[in-house]
Amino acid sequence: MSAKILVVDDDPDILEAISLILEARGYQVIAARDGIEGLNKLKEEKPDLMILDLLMPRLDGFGVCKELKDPRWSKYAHIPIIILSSIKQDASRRRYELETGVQLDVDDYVEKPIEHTILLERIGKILKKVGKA
Amino acid sequence: MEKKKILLVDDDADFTEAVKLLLESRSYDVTVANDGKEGLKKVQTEGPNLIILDVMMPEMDGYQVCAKLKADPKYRQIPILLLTAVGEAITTTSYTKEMGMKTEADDYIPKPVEPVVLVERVENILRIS
Repeated sequence: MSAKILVVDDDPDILEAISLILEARGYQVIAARDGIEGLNKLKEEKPDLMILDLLMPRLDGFGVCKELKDPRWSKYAHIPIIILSSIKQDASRRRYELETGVQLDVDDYVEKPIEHTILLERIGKILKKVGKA
Repeated sequence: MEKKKILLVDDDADFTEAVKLLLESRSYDVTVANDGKEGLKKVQTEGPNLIILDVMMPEMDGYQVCAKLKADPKYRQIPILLLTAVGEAITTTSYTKEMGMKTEADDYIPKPVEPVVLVERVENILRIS
């Protein structure tokens, strides 16, 4: 069975490009356009990995990470998260810590502009670690 | 085989990132320029095999870039794919008015365009050129 990846990004062009690249690699892709849709799809689809944009309407990526810390989401807490953002990693981590008092607990962080080889490599690494590659 | 070079000239950063990502995943070498002036400069420095050119841009618009390139014997062979938010007929007419000549772009694509559709058109043009 091919790994199922949930991609959450509000830009339709980026969403489409990432989906096509992942599908070409044989991954099954679920797309969501904001954090709320992302959380819903997480519940419905139980993906093996989530790729999460930070700046999004309705509920942003920080909000998704915060929400997943709630015990209600404990069933989904094991799903690895890769942040994909144009914000620098340091700045994002600082902001999250300031807002929540805890560290941003994600499995990887890829800065935009996206390099497709890097993204695929990071995805492969994480899926291997959780035994889904 | 050497990678084919594509120059992408558009001021919409999200759009260029998505298209660049897709083209690179299909083994093209992609250079991005954010306006017409930078685009012209990169035609000289990069020597692309194909140019994707947006019409509405700051500095120098796509019409002017297209006209300049097609008037230059050194660059007129490079296929140009013109991206326009208005229909092809309107584009060619307003271009004719503005520039006193017909556009010589090799293909037109109305915007908004899905990145995957654009990539298909690019592959078609490169196949026949």
